[in-house]
Amino acid sequence: MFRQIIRRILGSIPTLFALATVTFFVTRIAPGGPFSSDKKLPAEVIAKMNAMYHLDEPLWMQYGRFLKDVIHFNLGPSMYYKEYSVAELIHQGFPISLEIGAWATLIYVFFGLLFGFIAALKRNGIVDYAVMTLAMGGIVIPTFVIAPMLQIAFGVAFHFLPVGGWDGSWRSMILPICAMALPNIAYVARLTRGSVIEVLRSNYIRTARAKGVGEWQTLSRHALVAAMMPVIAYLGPATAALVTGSMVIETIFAIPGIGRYFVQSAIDRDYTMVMGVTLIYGSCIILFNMVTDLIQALLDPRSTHG
Amino acid sequence: MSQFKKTVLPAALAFSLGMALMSPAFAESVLNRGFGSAPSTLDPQLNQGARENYIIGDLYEGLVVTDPHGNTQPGQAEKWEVSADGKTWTFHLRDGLKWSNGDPVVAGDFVCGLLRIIDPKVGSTNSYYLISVLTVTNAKAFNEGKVSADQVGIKAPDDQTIVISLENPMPAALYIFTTLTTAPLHEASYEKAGNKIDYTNPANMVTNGAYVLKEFVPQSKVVLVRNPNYWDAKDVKIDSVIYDVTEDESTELKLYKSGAIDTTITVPAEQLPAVKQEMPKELIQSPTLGVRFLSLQSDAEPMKDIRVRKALSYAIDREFLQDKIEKIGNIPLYSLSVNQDPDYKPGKLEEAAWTQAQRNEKAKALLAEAGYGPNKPLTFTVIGPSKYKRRIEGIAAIWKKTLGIRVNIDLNETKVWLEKLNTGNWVATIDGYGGDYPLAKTWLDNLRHSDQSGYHWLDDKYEKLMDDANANAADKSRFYDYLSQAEQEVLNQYVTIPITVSTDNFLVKPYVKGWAVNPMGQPLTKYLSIEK
Repeated sequence: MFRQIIRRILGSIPTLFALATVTFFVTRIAPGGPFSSDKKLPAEVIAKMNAMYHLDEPLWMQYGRFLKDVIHFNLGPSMYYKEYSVAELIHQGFPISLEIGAWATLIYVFFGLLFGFIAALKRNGIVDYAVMTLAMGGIVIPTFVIAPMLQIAFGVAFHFLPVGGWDGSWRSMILPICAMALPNIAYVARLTRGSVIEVLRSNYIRTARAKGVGEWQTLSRHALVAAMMPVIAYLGPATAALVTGSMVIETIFAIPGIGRYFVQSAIDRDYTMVMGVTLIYGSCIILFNMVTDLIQALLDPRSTHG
Repeated sequence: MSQFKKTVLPAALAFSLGMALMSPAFAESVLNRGFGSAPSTLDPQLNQGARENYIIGDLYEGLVVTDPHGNTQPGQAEKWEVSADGKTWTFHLRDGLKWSNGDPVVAGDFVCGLLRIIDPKVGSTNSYYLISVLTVTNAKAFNEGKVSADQVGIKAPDDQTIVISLENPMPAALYIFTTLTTAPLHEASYEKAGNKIDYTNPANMVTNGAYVLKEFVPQSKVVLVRNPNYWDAKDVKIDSVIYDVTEDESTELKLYKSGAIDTTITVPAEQLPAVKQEMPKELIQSPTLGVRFLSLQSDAEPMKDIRVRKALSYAIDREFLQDKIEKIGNIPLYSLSVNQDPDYKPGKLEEAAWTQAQRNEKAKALLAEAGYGPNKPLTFTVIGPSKYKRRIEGIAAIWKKTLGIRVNIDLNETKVWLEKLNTGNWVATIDGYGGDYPLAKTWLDNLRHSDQSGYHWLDDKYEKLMDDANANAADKSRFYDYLSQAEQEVLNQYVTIPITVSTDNFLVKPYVKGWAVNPMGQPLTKYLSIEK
């Protein structure tokens, strides 16, 4: 088990390295640079800015410089927010995205499993259809439609909650967390329902029932864990996406997380920032995939490890 | 009565009465201003953004300021003179000026700030203000590292006086001194921090304006509170101003409607008609210095033929484009300069005087004359940034309807479009230029020939007129006359064809007083008050 973990962590290093390299070259090959603007700056001025950030050097030389910095964990200054380094901006924004993402994950896992289970147990009944229709709606209606609807309902029509903005209080967290959780609740509910139905048909469940194990015990001890496996697999990449913030949610609710950097830095050609957020996202994916693989290994009685 | 009622109730009553009596003393007036997307920097000399200047303008004060009506007023300088030849400006500071930390504001602080604009080590993109807009003596040489700072024509003969020497006179110079780029710098803090001040750290920031920085939360808000050391602090009515980052326009509108913010930075285009109906008194439509034009590459087919260029210009129904297609309050434009000194006579496209029906007729005739028709259809590609989608598609549709021509539209995100533009391999684009100050020279300087710009147009007559204008800048009427002729020359060539000047739309709550409409942007908070 321990060896597995070490092996995974060591294996992630070349992956991140490859990710950084591809990101480095792709961003610099894309047309446009960080300092072009429609203010039509004189060419000498742009040349000077490019020189200050070493963008006038040949690519392989810039890459060498980048590697040297990365070894020392230095991601450099942001090319757009000139007073801040990439590390500072991520340090400020990541905890916020993390907090919202973590809460959203807890909520959607809980409610997704709950609704999925209920739908599976009351299969083909009214409850099942109702839950599944809502689920379909949650999956199909985009976040940028649901979020403004929540804002209008709770912020403008009834002044229950702030329309947007972040002051660290739970009140400014509720709507973004709900908007983020809803589509995932829907997806997890569907996933759980299908998985539970399949598990309930399996041989060992029939055996347990035949042996006289109570329905509640059958469900909680035997069916639950098996049914959760697909959900756990889903959690890996999903958690990585949620804790690094959603561009749409953070823009609409004016949340100062790192979600919006993913898109905005690319548009601004802020090379260093793009690299920073890409590496964070990559690391999160690797980390959470590793965690969920471990959990699955632990929980799966068929597993030969642990 | 129970024991409770006898003791607790009277106590509670007294307490709440006490609080009610005390509260007016604690009531602080706070203005929440929607800001748009997060400020890129609060460094006055490095900042390029127009919006950031609202925050910087509340924090710092330059020699002169712009009032809500767009007029220049004394700022840190109480009076100034310009020499007869227009080449020397002398500013006299008020007595008793202080920085937010109590240090006196001295002329050397202004020299420090101004030199920083052109300091090669700082690398400010605003250096052209003092090199080409104002041709300060030796500014260019200093910026290129050829001379030292003490050779530059920016001097403080004593603590109360600043003298700026120019190579060429520039009547609109005062506007440059209203820009926050020319803000003074607290020399001691600057020396201590080296070449880069951590400006956004309230602990380090020393400012001389009406407000000081209290809190800066990146991507979220900037909180300012009143500066007790400001010379005019007694007239500043709002105690605290919070600039809220509102990246999403629709969210900003909802924040305004729910009362979370008191003013906005914009109104979403699709919501403008509804907003006009629901809150007409709160909507402010303010002219800007942002001119938008159709650019045609004069040395490429089919634009080589001036008849084609004229026809394309005549056929654009500018009023229809704004009223029915763009619908964001922009104003049709037939000149290349706007919102400036009434003494200046701007050039005008000849078709300005005709009706659209007449323009369409002449356009069709010219196109036929140039040899285009059903046998030889006119077609070309228009490149542009995605943000001008509606405008470009609207113009293409108008051309199709009026002239029967089909154009290809190639839109890209702004940075990609700029790359294409700079190569020069295009025949038509919609471009724009935000003037730095309200005088034709700013837009006309932008049209002068440059090898790197991607615009191939070079007209010796135009260049000469612009040089003549600069040479005669000391004499206002001759200066204006040459500029006017230059503007007319460009318009007559139909290579840069004005379409519209943009309008800013803001929402301002009725209890916010002091707001006025002016092309220089939103008013400084020190001029505003809240009356609830």
